[in-house]
Amino acid sequence: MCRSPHASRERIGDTRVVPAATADCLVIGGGFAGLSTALHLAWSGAKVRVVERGRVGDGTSSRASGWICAQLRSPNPLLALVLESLAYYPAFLARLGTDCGYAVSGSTVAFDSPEQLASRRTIDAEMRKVPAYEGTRFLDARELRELEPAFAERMVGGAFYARDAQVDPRLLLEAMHRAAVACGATVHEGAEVTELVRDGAEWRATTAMGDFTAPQVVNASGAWAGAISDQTGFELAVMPVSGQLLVTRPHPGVLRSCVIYQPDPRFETTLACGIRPAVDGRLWMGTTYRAGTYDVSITTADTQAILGAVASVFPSLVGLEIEQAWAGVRPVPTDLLPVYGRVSSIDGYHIAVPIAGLAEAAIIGKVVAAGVMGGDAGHPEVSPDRLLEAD
Amino acid sequence: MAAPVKLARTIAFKSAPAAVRAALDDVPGVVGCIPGATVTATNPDGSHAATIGVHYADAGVRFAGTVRAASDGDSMVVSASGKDGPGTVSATGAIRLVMRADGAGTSMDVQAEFEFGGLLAPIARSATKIVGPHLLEAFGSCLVSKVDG
Repeated sequence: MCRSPHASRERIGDTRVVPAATADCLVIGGGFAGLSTALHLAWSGAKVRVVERGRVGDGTSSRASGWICAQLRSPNPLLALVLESLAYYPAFLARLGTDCGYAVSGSTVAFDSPEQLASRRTIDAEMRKVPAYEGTRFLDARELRELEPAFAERMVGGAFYARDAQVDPRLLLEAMHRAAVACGATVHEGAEVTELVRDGAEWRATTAMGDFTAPQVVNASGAWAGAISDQTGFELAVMPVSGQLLVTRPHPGVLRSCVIYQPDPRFETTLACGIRPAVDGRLWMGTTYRAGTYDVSITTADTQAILGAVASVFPSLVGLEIEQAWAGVRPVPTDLLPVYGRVSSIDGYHIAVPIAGLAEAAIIGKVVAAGVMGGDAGHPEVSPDRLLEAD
Repeated sequence: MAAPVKLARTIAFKSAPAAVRAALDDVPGVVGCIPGATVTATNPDGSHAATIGVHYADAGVRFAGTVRAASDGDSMVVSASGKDGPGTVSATGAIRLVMRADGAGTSMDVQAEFEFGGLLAPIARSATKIVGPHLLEAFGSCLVSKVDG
């Protein structure tokens, strides 16, 4: 944790126009990606300003499910990043000075056919080629029931990955926000960027609070990143995918790990039914999948879909009282990989768009900030340059 | 700002230019050759109200807008503009059709150009680059079928 005498936090409703506010780096978006980037930049001594159109985390991050999950990934560069993030999370949280409900609870996937189980074994073998992925422990029906008795009787087996973890997304957001401000970053809430232009050696972002300038800009605006990127001339196609979650009253002890049933062994389609047993005993159940929309309304159809899936997969959990419901919008770049790093063709333009926002929250800022500071950001497989079209 | 999406294709007809030209006068018929597009009404000023639905991955966007056709000799321009229901993407586009005699038949150069605005504009551009050539191919096949039978 650090304390800066320059710490300041602008708030929604504060309509003062900031006169030509400058910084070493301007971060657009105050979610996990933006705050993580701002934190790592501030920890490196850079002067950072974050501009967030609403409140911190409003867009997506405050609506996350709380899983830091490697097991549900495919054998691709996103898996490597999530594993790196899992390894980094304890040190990251220690630096924030709070645990935010973090727990290494593991995750358990159940299968209701031998074919699903066999298919998942094949994919797990592919995933083991990714460094740091040790593989899941496969369970027969009896072992699955011993580990997680709430699964339906029809499940023929499962897979348990011990390193998967969870954290409370709202506590994490608050901690990241607080730490960023304490380290000297300025977070401007209610500052929607309406124009972003390169003006000589600097970027200028126009907002209702005034203009912000910096030689470097990081586009961390999640599902809205494509529209921001359009203003730089860099094509960034990010699909918004909205989804709903339900949270029950506390029911401690009914589940030991984060649990999921997913009929698609590659986990590339609709998430059928997942539950995170939070540290406070609440069960976070979800999620639905509505592609191509920013609509975050709570719908009867989505609520019924989640409850129906829970009834099918966890019959003993039917009837639990729902305490909260919300929906959020995930960013999904069209090649299904996150976008981290510098755009080599545009001076001072960087992108930080995750897919698994919470799972990547620790690592994304570390990687992107390294690039902003002129170091080797690494991870070329998720660099924006991969999206450039061949002539 | 992002560059417009441009697509091009040449369509060969067995019929003579006059027959092709006659088919193009049927604007609802021409629009109906674009997969997913339908003319829903003809406006007093001669323009047409139309809709087009485009699916990309799991997402679907349905545009509603106005189509105008203008012809000049052996060329015709069908222009359109519209937006989706929630207003997250708007589109303007023009398809220029230029005919020339090719032996006993007709060769038609089709050049299409689309611009998108709004939050989903990058997705719309990406989708158009991917599905656009297939739509243009289907458009050409439909026109040939209409004209040549």
